[in-house]
Amino acid sequence: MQRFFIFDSERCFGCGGCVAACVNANETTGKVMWRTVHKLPPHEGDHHTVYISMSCNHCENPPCVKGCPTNALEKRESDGVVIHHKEKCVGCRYCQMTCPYGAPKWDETQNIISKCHFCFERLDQGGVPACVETCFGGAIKQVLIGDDDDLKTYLKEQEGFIFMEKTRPAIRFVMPAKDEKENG
Amino acid sequence: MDHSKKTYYTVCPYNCWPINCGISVTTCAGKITEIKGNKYHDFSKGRLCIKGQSCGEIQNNGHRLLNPLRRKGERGSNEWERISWDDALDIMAEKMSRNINNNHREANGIYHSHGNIVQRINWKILTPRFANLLGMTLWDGNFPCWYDVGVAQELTGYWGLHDPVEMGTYAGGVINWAQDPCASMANMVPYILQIKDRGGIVVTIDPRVTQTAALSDFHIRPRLGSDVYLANAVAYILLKENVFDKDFVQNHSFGFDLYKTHMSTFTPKKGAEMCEIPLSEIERLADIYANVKPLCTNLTRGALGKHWNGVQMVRSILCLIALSGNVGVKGGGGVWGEGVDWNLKLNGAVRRRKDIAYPPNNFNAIDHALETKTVNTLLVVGGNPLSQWPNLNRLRRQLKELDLVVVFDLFMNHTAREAGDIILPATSWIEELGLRTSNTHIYIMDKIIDTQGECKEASVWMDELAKRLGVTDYFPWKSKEDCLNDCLDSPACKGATIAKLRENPGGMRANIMDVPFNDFVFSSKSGKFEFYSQKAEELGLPALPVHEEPIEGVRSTPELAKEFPLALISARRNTHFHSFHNSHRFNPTLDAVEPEPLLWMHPKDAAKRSLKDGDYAEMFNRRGSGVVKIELTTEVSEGHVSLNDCWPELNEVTQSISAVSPHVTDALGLGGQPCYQNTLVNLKCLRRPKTPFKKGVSGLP
Repeated sequence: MQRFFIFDSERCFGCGGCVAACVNANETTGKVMWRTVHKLPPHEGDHHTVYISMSCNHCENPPCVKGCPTNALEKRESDGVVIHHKEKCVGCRYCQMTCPYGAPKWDETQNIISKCHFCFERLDQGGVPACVETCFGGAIKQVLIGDDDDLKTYLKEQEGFIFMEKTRPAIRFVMPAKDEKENG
Repeated sequence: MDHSKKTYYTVCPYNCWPINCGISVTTCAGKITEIKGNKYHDFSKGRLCIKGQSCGEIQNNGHRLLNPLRRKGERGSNEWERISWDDALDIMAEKMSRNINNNHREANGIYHSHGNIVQRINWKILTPRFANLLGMTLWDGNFPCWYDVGVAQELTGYWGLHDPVEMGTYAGGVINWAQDPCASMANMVPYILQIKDRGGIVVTIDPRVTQTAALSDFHIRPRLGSDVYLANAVAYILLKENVFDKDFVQNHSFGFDLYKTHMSTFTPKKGAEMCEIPLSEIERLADIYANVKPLCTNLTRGALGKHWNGVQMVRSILCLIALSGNVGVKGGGGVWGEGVDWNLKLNGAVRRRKDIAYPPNNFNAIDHALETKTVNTLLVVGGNPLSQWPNLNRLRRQLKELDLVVVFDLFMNHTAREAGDIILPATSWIEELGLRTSNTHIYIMDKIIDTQGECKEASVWMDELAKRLGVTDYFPWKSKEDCLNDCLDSPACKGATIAKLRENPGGMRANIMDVPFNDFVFSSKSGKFEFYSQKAEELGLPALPVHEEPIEGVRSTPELAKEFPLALISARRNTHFHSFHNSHRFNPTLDAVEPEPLLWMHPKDAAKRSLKDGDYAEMFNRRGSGVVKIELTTEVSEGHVSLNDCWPELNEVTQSISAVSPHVTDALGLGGQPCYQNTLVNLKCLRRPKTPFKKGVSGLP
């Protein structure tokens, strides 16, 4: 089983509510932000700016877990969420070097890294991550998928995002409405 | 001590009008353990934007003012000493009583702004009551914000405040005319997306590719300041094609024939040339106004009002709403807003002195009042003029020349530091019992934690000061709850009490019309929708919507444009709410996400000045200069740059004058805002950052 973030760039308008919701829920005090909103300005003459909100992608094959010399990073068996055990972290920052998506963040107040843990405590109590809960556009969602066929309704490709086959990030994108029409 | 968890309900302190999101606060042993969106809130449904999510960083903030302070050194030296509330109020009473005894009550002024609007009752009743009972000059801080839209509405007789939920449910489309709700009111977006999900159309009219444009099906980018031509050219087509609401025009409007004749001069061809857009875009917009039923036109905020010709722009669009048959229609209408009134009899207006000529609530009049010392003592309540008002150098001198400047706030701000004599520490929104109306509902804002330090509520120190000045009935209630229950004694708030609101964390529906103006009774002289405004004629304004070029612009001031060829668009982004919390520098999350002014610039304009993405540049004009960071983007077209508002260090460059004269705003009971969208600037490179600037790394674009 793997938990995926599902992102719909047609419903994201770059408000950054998810960024602050993450700070608020995880008490990272505003200096350390696990989630980031990236912007792709429109091509000349076009009218559509694309926004992508992203945090740790909880890769199916996470290099950060492999690269951690103290086993401070763990991929949960139940849902594939990558969790950081701060008591084991020695601040070597190897995970930052191996992560292609810049997910582990440096916390200079504690000299260790910290990262998105998919709000696993909320998930375990039947809730949803703070970013998903606060999103006004409904652009960020999450699903637990056991069968690869269930992934086929989503896309691996998104303008501004590179899908790393080696790490297999657990994020998928909603098919744009016009493509759906064209395809369907 | 009780260690059980308790949950309270309140409303977000960032009072983005008209709709405020619900917040739930959980405490344990009197300490806050969680602040999050209130899932019961009828409108926001548990969601919060970036500002709301970071509001927990306010009340325990190390920068909070916790004691009254008195200036020690020279004005502006920022040296302070602690004093008692009694001493602070005695000093204020002494100065104010001198004006009263000299028969110059108007020399005591109060300016209250958005910080005071957090508690709606303070804004609508308790602060005006204080000013009225003491006979003070009262300036209401909404005037930098959106009053020119209000002026246009007063002149037409039609406000049309509609409910966004109604729009989301019934509208066939929405036109965001110079509005970017995605940046300024994120909580509206679910209702815009609802229209899209139902197959409706979302249109944005804005020279920039705004965040809302990114969600829109159709985006028109007219030249800055050309909106009257766009609206009137659409009206021309509706009239020529005979596809307008004849029943409404015949039965509920005034001056239609004059309007029709006037519109015949606004040909679509001329419109396309003036707006610098293809003719086909005007035709498509006309087609939408003619055929999408019902159609909501969002004019909620005052972007258009920040033009020299803003009143006429809004007038021309209101006429289009009427012409296309969207007045008094569910899912149609003009703007989003709230129409819930309290028991306003309590504001003491009947006791206001009729024999005193008070300086009107308008920047031009305020400037005159300060320059002539008509007002010599100023209480600034929840506001920050030295960040937000125009002409700061002049204002700075004027404030420093006053006899007394008192600032009541949560934090030190620019006005306090540079001109304050006495600083009074304010309670935060969860340290006092309050109320909020928002959209169609009434909500409680519960007192959740104890007051910090020696902070006081506005009405508490106002009562103590009023008593020192001989007014003993400012706060006649036994408790704040009694006061608020009295404030709720109005037709719109029928049945609501503090006790009942506590039982309804989702808010209580106010007793207001389902669809505004479906009785077709208008507040104009004729009682009808005035295409030809008699009130405008009376006040010496154009009675029909006319075009006037910006006071600064490439077309209107070509000589000036040779020196300063870039038109500055003042914009709103999600991270700012006016100058709250020392312009957000004291909110760690908002400060981290947007730490410095970022100027959007077209790559071609940048290349002409050898500017690269991430460079620091000096933005300047004849009024002043300041430093911005350059972001190269095609979200602005060539010849335009765009900056988020509320950077005090740039106010000299970005300022302008009020477009509407004091006699107009005074007659209508409104304010007048400067035309911030009519400013030309130029740029030159200052330095290149050592590390290349990366988009998105700061958390937001």
